[in-house]
Amino acid sequence: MQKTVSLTVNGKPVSATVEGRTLLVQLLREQLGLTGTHVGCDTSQCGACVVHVDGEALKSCTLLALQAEGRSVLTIEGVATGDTLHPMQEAFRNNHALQCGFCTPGMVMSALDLVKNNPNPTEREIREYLEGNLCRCTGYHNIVLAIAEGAAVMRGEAPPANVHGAAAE
Amino acid sequence: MTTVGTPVRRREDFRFLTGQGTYTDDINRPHQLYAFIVRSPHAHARIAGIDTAAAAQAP
Repeated sequence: MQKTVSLTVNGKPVSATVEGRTLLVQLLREQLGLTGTHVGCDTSQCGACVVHVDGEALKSCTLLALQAEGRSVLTIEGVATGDTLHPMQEAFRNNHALQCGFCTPGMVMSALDLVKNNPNPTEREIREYLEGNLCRCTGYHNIVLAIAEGAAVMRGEAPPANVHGAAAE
Repeated sequence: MTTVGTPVRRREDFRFLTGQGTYTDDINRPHQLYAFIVRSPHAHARIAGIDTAAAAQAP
């Protein structure tokens, strides 16, 4: 069964012909070419496929493409403004919160959702929120530091002292 | 040696942070072929022969 689905992706209206079983992540990756959203597990555990749907973080492997009809999807490709990283992305960079980068898009999308609902999360709250995002390279320590820094910058505060002392370019 | 002890920013982070990284699963060429490793279903066995007929039928 093929059907047309129309939605907004990163601010642009798009339409695509999908099957009833097509997942949102397949629509994004295979039909729209937005391969920044990753499939790590296919079983809704790893969080590499997190996107925002109508402003809410969702694992795009758990949603059928047709369920996104008329909704607004934000993927990692829509977070930066041209060459300017979003403060949360910049914080990941500053804190060496990524190594291979595979989990990073989902981590950033989840972090943005956390900060939207809790602008000043404690370290414990950040760690608990990351329950649905798995990283197999760096461990979570620097990711937690990055999210705290990104949240601070998004609140309009100066970033906390960078433990790694990474100089800004 | 002013660079010793100075953190160096990774060049690859920008593309990873913006979804522009290219992992093997992201590559999609026209008429792309896929390889699949068939592993033995037996934990311990003697290989008497390998039937490649089905694999050879693949394009």
